[in-house]
Amino acid sequence: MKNINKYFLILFLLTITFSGCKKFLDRPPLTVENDETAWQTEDNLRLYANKFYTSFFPGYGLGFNTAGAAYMDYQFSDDVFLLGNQGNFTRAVPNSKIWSMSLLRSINIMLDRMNNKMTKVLSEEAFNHWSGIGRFFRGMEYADLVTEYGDVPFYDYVPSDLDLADLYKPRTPRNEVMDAVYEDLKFALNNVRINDGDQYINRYVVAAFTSRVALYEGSWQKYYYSNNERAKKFFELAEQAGNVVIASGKYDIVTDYRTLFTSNNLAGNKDVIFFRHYDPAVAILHSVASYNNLSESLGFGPSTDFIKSFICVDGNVWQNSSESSANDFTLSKMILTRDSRLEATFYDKPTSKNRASFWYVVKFAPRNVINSVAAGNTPPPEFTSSKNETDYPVIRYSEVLLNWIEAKAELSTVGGGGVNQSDINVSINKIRNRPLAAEAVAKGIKKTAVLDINNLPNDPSRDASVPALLWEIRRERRMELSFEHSRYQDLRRWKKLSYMDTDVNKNLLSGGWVNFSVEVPSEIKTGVSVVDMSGNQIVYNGSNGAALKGFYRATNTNGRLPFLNQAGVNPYLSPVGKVQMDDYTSKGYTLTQTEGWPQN
Amino acid sequence: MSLSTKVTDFLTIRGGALYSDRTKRYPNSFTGFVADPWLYLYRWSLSFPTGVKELGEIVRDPYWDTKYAHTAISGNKYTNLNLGTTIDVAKNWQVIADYTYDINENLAKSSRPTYSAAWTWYGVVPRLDENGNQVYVDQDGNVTETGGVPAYKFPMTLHYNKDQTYIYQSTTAARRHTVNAYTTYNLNLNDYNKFKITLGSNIVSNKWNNHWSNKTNLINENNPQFNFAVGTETTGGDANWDSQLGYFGRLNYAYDNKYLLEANLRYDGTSKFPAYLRWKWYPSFSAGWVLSEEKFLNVLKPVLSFAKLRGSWGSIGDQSVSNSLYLSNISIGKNEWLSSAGNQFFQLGTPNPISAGITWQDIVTLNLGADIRMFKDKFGITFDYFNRETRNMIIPGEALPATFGAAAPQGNYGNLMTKGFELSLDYRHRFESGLGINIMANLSDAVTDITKAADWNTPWENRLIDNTFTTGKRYGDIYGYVTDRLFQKDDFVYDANGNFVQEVIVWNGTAKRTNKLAGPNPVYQTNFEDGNQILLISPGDVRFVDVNGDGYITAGKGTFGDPGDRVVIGNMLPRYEYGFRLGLDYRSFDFSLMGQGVGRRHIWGEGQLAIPGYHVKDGAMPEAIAANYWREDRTDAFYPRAWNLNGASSGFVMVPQTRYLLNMAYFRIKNITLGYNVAPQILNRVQLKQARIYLSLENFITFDKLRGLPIDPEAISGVSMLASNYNLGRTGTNNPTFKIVSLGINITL
Repeated sequence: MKNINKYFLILFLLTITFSGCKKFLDRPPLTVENDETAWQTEDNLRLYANKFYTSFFPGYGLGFNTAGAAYMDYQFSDDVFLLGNQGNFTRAVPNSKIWSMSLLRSINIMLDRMNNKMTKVLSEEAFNHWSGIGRFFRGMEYADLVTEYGDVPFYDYVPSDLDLADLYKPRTPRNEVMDAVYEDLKFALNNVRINDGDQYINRYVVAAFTSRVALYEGSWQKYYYSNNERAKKFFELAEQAGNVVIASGKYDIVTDYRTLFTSNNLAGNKDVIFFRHYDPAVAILHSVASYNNLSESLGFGPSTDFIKSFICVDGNVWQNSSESSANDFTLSKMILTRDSRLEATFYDKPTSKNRASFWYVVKFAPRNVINSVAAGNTPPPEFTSSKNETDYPVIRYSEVLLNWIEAKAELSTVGGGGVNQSDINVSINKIRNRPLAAEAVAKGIKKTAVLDINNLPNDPSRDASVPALLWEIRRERRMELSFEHSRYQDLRRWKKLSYMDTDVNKNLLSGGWVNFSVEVPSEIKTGVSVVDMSGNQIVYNGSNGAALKGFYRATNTNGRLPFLNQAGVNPYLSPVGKVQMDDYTSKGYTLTQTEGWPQN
Repeated sequence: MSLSTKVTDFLTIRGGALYSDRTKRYPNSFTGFVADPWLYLYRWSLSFPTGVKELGEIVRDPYWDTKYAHTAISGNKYTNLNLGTTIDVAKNWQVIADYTYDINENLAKSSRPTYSAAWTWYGVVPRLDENGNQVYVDQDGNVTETGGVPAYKFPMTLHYNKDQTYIYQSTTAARRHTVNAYTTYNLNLNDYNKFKITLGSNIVSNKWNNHWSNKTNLINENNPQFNFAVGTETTGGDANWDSQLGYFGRLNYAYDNKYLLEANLRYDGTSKFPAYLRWKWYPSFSAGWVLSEEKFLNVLKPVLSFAKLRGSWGSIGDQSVSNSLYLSNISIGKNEWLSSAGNQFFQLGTPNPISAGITWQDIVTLNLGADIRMFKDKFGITFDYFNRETRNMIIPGEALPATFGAAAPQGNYGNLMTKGFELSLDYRHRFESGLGINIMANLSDAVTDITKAADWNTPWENRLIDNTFTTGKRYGDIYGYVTDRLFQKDDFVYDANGNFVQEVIVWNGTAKRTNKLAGPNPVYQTNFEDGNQILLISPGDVRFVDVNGDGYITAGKGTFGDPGDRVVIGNMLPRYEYGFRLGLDYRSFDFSLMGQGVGRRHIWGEGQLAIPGYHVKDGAMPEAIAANYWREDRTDAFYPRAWNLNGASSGFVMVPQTRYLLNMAYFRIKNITLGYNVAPQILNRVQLKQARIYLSLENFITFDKLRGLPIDPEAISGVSMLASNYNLGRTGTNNPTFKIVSLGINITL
């Protein structure tokens, strides 16, 4: 009896220990999807595509991170200069520099899984829409890489980590890459949904960005590569994309300039095609407006070159305008004699808070906040630190109009159609007819006169190699898109980086016009100097305070080092780093250096 | 608590329960724990006010931030229940089984109130009186009715408004079942030969889940509860599980209790690897020789009371990795894109590249040791030498070019070998006077070499020395330059006006214009310059030794074959760790002294307390650096000429190098205790059996080699239970080690 009990117990224990072996060890993770199971529904596909938004549309950045943000990440052009030494172009092959393809990998995975796993799951319309979205992102990303490096290895599939010959393949010629981008963007233009919901990309967003990307590529082909045939192909795409947006009838210019950048919610705004929303309730905030709050002291500011480029209210340049005091650069006078966007962009008194230029940019802070701070109050908390809530118009109707008219004007020089007055009325004159803010009207601001194609302004400082119409279109673009994202890219695509040569153009090293003894007498001290209309620099020597009347230049502001016509330096395209070239060589492959840089 | 009872003559049942409860209270930082008040205390200059009020209003600083913070609670409850049985099947045959169920629960609660304080950041506002008129003060700051200057004050600012207040709570529960069952059979052939056979199994099943909630807009800040929050609600949670199964068998053999042998075999399986790679065999062996039992050593008995030599070799499996390495996972989370109504978008992440064949990591250990006791057990020595090899270690694969778009997938590519020894001594003696002494001391050391990493196919000369896992590298090695001295004025060439003469130096295809160095064939350091006359080697900058003799200071290709002028300057793992404890007792007094130290450890620090010039505009700088950097009137200083690195821990010539490497070796007297046992006569009157009064000092004396920098040598940058990347990983910016004096009494009833 005892023994049976014992053995029974033992058997019982043995069964416990040895039972349920195989299934017991089957414990896949409970709370994450994986690559095998995630590709089942259109909703999952939408969630997958959502993660690209903040990479492609940074807006004002996030928190204190201003990478890619308007104003703060665009301090290198001929519109802006720094106190002290200017930023330099890359003049030597860096130790380590290479393209980043992590976004491309993610996009290619999306397109690959769609083609392999989701053809049965999605309707044809949905399949085409999401292929369009994926190809739109891929086209944008490759266009970016090509603009930076020229030739880049092209992948429209997901390379395997085991195929080294494929991963180390030679750089694909940029024309081949851009042809693929062309096809991708065209497909997206034809297949993305007209409306996919609140804050989702729709066909007009695709069209707007296509007008930008295609215009850039067309200009590169015409000016840098001197290939008019390819230029024509891309200018035509830019024009078509612009037409899609214009013909929709959904967009218009009905908001005053300042409100576009200082609104807490841009939903429903007809000027805006796509915007980035910020909201304190979920702590998605930015810091760009804090740098415009008239209290934060800044070391970079508008250059005299930019200030001089503003058109006068009567549509002529200041050198021959009929406006009274057009050649008086005092800030209070310029507000009245120049295009309304000057008043909307700058605070109306010179202030030492902008240590480089004395003219303070307030484009991204609302009028009531600036008035309050000017009256002596501290800025409200939501305009300090990284607590800003204002939305950013990622792409707006006025940019599309400018892209469209520029593409048309360029086309007329490479064998395409021409530009007539009605084209200008639809674009530039429409922008000039933008409503003015009530406060601006009260100051006496007026809308700028229309641009007449038969009576273009006669600008003595026009670059002789640029036709008059294009010159005015570029000027309009410079005033409209100031301190945002485009000026440096524009100079590169027009092959006009010479405009940033501080040895040739002294207007790049001085800022706003200041009459020290009248406007800011307390700022007269050592280190101050001004540049008068003839270009002479008057340095404060302790007693000539009354003579300090001119464009402000701190005595320690210096130019940048030469970057044009230097042996082994190509300021237009970025080199790849030595470490990466060595890595390719050590594996038995070759990474060619970007053109214009030393090949070894 | 445990019980054991013999139910029948062959069956014993035992059970036990253990419960432990722990709560930690700490101030919930307003600014989070990636930058908590300790960071700010070490960050700003001396002129920033700390703990002051202006006109009765608090001025914002880390002191007030901590005082007004809400208390956060972090609690842990651990329950362990076990049930076991021993069955005596026959005289030499037992079956033992134990089942344990343990629950580990964590609870965290925190909240943040509104917070207003005077703000010194932007500027001042006019100080007005009750009627709104400007107040005037004299030169001492006293209010005056006549003359004087307008007075100003810092504006009171609301830093955290109602929308930014919150209450947060999270709970985590982990439940684990463990079954250990085995049977042993003792086979005693005769008095000399004894065998023991064991067979058994281990089963572990683990499951955890957690949940958190957060609600904003507190309406009652004195009693933060979810019911008193009326704002946005956010919530989340996670769960996971894993299991392990193992079977083992063991054979023990003892001959005359002098010669001992053991052999083991395990068969282990885990849920963390794909099905076809789950199971693996693991053998191990050990042998021992009780030397002191040998007859020929009986002569030494008074001196050598016990000596045993032992050795073992074995392998076990290690699966302490995440349970989804072989699956290409896609995470789900919120991102920062908002709908126009302010709702965050959700996103599916990119599937990570994986190596499909992930399996167990194996740890093979060889151990040789000796236990010796001498002088009638008074003096003991234990010595161990071990060689532990981790094979098939899961590490990232060989770096792929940028065109792949992701890091190389992890796989079983690595081998690591650790060699070390441990030695411990103890001695106790009682003198005739009654004084008793006992001493314990230990010393241990180990080095770890990476014997195989993902780049094992690359020839030795081409392997990168800066990777953490490089084949042939000693783990933890820090590569850097060798500091020679600081440049002085007469190292350079000047022209008639006293300005530097400049020269264009060309190296490896790059030309840079730099200050000309005096002397024949000087060694140029243009590698650290930017070629734009901003970063320019000048008097006061660091001069390095040209180790490879090529006339320039460079990092070469950064490989073993071409490390440039860099060499191994230190290792970040501790070497020669030692400790000792000395105890004395005499009559009713007892005294003990305990110390511990590390013989060698180096790190290249991070942050303003370790790196001179880290982020000068923040203001704070250790006195040790500020009083000892190169100036024209102080050319023999230790630190180089003042230079702002703008928030980087290495830049220009302040790069890892011998002179500024932090030497983290230290010796710390951890505890000094003096105790007194109260005389029995007194105790009898109060019915106590024993009472001891003691005074104890902890962490009072530390010897370190940090040259006065305010860094605790035991600290590890950025590690804390409060956050990963605690205080931005800056060395030394955390709670300092407290020196504690305590006075106490132990009573036995």
